[in-house]
Amino acid sequence: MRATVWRGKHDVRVETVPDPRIIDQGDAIVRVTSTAICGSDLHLYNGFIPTMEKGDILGHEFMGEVVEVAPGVRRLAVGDRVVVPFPIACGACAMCMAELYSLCENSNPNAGLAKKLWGHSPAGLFGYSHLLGGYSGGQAEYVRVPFADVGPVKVPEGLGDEQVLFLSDIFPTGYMGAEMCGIQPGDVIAVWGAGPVGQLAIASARLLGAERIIAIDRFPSRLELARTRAGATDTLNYEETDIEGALEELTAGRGPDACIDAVGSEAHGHGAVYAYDRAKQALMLESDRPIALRQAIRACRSGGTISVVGVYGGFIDKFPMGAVMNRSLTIRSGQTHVQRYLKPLLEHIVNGRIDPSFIVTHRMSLQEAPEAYELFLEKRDGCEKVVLSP
Amino acid sequence: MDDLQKRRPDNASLGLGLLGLGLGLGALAAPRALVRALGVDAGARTPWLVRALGAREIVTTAGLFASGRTAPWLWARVGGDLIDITLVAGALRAPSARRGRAWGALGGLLGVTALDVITAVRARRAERPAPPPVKASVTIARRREDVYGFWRNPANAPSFMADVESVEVLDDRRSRWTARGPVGPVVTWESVLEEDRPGERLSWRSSDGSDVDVSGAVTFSDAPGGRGTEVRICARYAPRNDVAARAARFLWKKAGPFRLEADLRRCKQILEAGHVAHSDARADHQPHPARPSTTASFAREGQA
Repeated sequence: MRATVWRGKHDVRVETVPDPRIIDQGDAIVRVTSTAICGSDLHLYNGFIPTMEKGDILGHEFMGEVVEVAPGVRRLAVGDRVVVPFPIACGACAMCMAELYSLCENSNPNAGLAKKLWGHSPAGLFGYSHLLGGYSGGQAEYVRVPFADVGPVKVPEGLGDEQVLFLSDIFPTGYMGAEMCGIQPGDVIAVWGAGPVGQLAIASARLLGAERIIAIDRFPSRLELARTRAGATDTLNYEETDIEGALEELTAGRGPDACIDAVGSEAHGHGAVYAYDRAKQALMLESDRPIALRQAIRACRSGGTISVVGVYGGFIDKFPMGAVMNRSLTIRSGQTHVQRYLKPLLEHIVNGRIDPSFIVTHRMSLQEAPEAYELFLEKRDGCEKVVLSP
Repeated sequence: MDDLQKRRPDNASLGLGLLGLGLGLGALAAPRALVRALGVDAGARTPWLVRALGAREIVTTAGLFASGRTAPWLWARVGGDLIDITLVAGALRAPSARRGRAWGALGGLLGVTALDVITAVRARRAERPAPPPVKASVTIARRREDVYGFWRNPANAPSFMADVESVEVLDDRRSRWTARGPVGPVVTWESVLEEDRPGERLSWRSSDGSDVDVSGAVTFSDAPGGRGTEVRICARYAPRNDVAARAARFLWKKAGPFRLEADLRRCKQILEAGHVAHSDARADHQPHPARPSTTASFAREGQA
């Protein structure tokens, strides 16, 4: 089959590789019909996630048709059209039973390695380094889906691929980002990053009843999309505006009730602090540059919540713990427990309350994956989200 | 469990010790008589030299009986024997020496030296440092009886212990294990169940004829608040051969906890999720994009 493989920093190729096969009794093989490139794939592309090996198949946002199931699979049958969540979860451990699927205790075969880095291991993920399991990803013609009874959700007839594809990751991720804010009537929510996750966090905050939603980015086209399609009430361009001052002004001095970091470890910014973080990251003195996170913490109202859904890999520097402690801030975070959100969010889509496909700007073939990565990285041509068809 | 197994001196060491004590006391009390008995001439300083040698004998004997380890003291005795042999051999050349007795004394000394060497080698083998125990623990979301039942059947071991290739159950308490040792070669041992407290504890030890010394214990207890079962394992592993034992001791200390923990994790996967979780990188043994031939060591942590 053809698959998008990682060959090194800024080197992604489409190659012919062996077809996946059933390995465990809970496996299914899915023929991929649509797959997307995630902002977190760019962390791999930029070489910021350790334990990638040359030849690893990328991709954790995908959907398709079940073409083979192992004998242990009960809920799925050949021919089912499914969307597959990016965290792999066994459904039986304490974390899965508590619906914390991205913390599944059984799905990461390299848990010992992850434990060394993070203290304990989270779940295995599709196409996201050997630290997180070494599972082949879904930017390919076929993919092996372990624990197929637990993750994949069947798609009702009448819905197009693009309407449901983002249930695999970014819609639940944006939703969880908004949900972790504990939105109350009258709440003002500020969202750093108007990429795909930021857009869907804004849309979710609107679904959850936020009074005012402020989108922060540097690309006018993204801010425009946030205002016209996602439901942001205000937009701020950090290259033109002093964000802290503007947020204070917009909230009459209170600060946003909750701040969502939909940026993660490769934030952009300007000025001395940004230069400091770029330099430290380049010298490998810190693995992540938390510019958006620092700003969110300073801007947030006292007693408010910081909701972190942007991906961080290792260590950050100059973390304003004094602000967190003295102002009673709550930090909530996590890789998305996608399985928890599939049913309710699918209902929102079926009922027409939201159509996440508004973020798609580019449709390309799987063969064009290398160009697609470049386009997305450089945000050329107003690129917001690329969907690939094998 | 102590790192070093303390040991009483065996009969041979005991005999040698008593002989040393007798000679030592004799040398202290009547150095001249002893020297005459050996058939060598006593010079002016000889009595003091003989007393010193006697004191040495008493010190090594005390060490032999009191320190808990006999091997180093037996080797000290061998050193002392060599000094004695040198002295007696030197005295033989003196014109006044009574050759017959002196040769007899030399023969006796050589005999004792040989005995000392043999006993020391044996003692060292018996007293080599045991490998440190390695511990690991895991919480499994299953009832205690289920987890105990799984562990009670040794035939389940190869499904989650990465190094174990096969287990043949011989009877209710004995089983024959085949494993790839941490240093490479295939080793086999017969494991004997020592303690069996249903639902609480199992312990085992390899029988005497085995290639390796393996022992361990696993305990099961209820995790609080219905969280399942807490499993704690403590295990030792060492080949019998001295050199291999030292290598194994080093490797076991370094890699043992990591490997044991990975074994427990796979046990949890089987008991909770029904099977060991394999990623594509783990499962493909032929060259594969997710598991190229250069695969780093972390990818090998747990091929079950």
